[in-house]
Amino acid sequence: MGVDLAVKIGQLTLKNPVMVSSGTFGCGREYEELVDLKEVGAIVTKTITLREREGNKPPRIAETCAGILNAIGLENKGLNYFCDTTLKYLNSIKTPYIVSIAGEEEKDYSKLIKALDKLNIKAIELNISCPNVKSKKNRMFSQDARATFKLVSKVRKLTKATLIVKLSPNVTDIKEIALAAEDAGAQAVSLVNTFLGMAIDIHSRKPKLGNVTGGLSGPAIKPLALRMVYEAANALKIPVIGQGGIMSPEDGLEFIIAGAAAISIGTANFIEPQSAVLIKKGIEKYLIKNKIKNIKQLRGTVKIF
Amino acid sequence: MHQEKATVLKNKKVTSQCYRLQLRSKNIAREAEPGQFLHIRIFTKNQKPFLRRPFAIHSTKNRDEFSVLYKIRGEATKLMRELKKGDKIDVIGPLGSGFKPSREARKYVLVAGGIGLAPLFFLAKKLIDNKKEVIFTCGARTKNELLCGKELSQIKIKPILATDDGSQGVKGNVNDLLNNYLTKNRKDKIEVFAAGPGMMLKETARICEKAGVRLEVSMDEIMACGVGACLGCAVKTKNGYKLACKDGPVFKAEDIVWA
Repeated sequence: MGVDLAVKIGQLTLKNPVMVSSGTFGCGREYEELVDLKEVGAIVTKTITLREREGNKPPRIAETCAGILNAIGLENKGLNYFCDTTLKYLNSIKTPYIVSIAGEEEKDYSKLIKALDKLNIKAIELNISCPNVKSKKNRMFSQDARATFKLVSKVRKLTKATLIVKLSPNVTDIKEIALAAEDAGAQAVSLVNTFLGMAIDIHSRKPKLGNVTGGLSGPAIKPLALRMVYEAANALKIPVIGQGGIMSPEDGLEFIIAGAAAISIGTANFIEPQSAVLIKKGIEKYLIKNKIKNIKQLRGTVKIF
Repeated sequence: MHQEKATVLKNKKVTSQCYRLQLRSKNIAREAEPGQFLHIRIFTKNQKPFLRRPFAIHSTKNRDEFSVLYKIRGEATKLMRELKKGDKIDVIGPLGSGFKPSREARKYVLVAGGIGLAPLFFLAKKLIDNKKEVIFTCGARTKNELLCGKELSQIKIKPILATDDGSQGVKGNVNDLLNNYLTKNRKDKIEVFAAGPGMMLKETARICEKAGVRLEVSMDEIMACGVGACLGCAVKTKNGYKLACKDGPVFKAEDIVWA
């Protein structure tokens, strides 16, 4: 018995619901020798900014209990390099891709979107939740429902591409922010980005990250992420892309049962490059075993007593 | 670059704190170059340690055998110590960009601080195979921590030794040996290759710059992905940040901005 794993995110159709998260998979090329990219539902590219960013002072990674803290600082070569080089690669592979973009202010996002729209990019993820980059107002767009609404409304008018908004978990009420993104015309939300955290070396008494604080990811955050995905999915009409510490098919299934339309694999790629493919296969097996013909039939089926 | 289940052939204690792990897999050894590394997954069921660990390739044999030399430092290496013949471990490699000795040089001076010997042994072997003259300087805290004496003599290398406590060789460190060598020899057509602690490499770089000789260093950084995706293992260079896992781990010393 075959099962239907296809899902739709905006106008984008994914062969399967297992994506790879921004910043953890490069543009796919980094892993092409180790992973059958055709099996990956979609690749969310490393975030690009208008101009090149050199990134944060090292150390940029600190291992913690069941997770890692990172403070990369959105190192990237900028929009022009992306359009001239990375895009050629992305267009040469069969996997759907989603271009992740970030800016310090609204007009950065507008310029990026306009440039990408001209190149017929089919899907864009607005990264408004990077904890290692400070906007001019010293906070993330995704920590303020009004700022989220305003930004998404503005860029919505500039493109027909599928717009996904990546949300931060560092907020009091995730539903409020997610609804603001939906009301402004986002076609999906992606959550969660990393949790702000810190680690200290007790011998030198220095922070383990050059940036002092960083974003926590990995299995340590999975229950926290799952709760937020559950709440957002219940409040929204648009699809939720669930992520945060997914390491196994079972983890991924939890997110789908909680209401996620698709899931995304991040930190797990560093440990097992084939995570997305293995998780997809595990989900397929679960569906067959439980006689579920279509992945959509599992979405949001959590039974609350 | 391959991800393979490598079979443990041998896991032998070589000094009080260091072990040599010999492995076999289909493709890794065949493609390995000196200075490249392996990303090894070693963990218990509760995901501790969480990330893979990078280890320099120490040597290769018969196209399918390779080894790493490791020092007990934390949870991962303590688990590695327990590996037995026949066990299988997940290895990604060979990774990164290795040493690039030029053809023109006449003498190749290798500077090994402690466990930094690991990649330099592989380089020495390759240079000797190509009939090059190798000067191998080797430093440790004390006599019992000096590594690979037997293996070096098997490839006809007599290392120049230094120990911090003077229990063997010169009392001092490996940079003293290098300095001494460079003072006593003509510096043209010498190339230097170094691996060891960061503080040592910084001093090695200073010595080589002063002497006007070319130096390559192997940089040890905290790493997550190992393949250039996460941009975590940044090394500050005169041309901006570079990645230890992809642009390195071996860099030209003149490019590094030392902390």
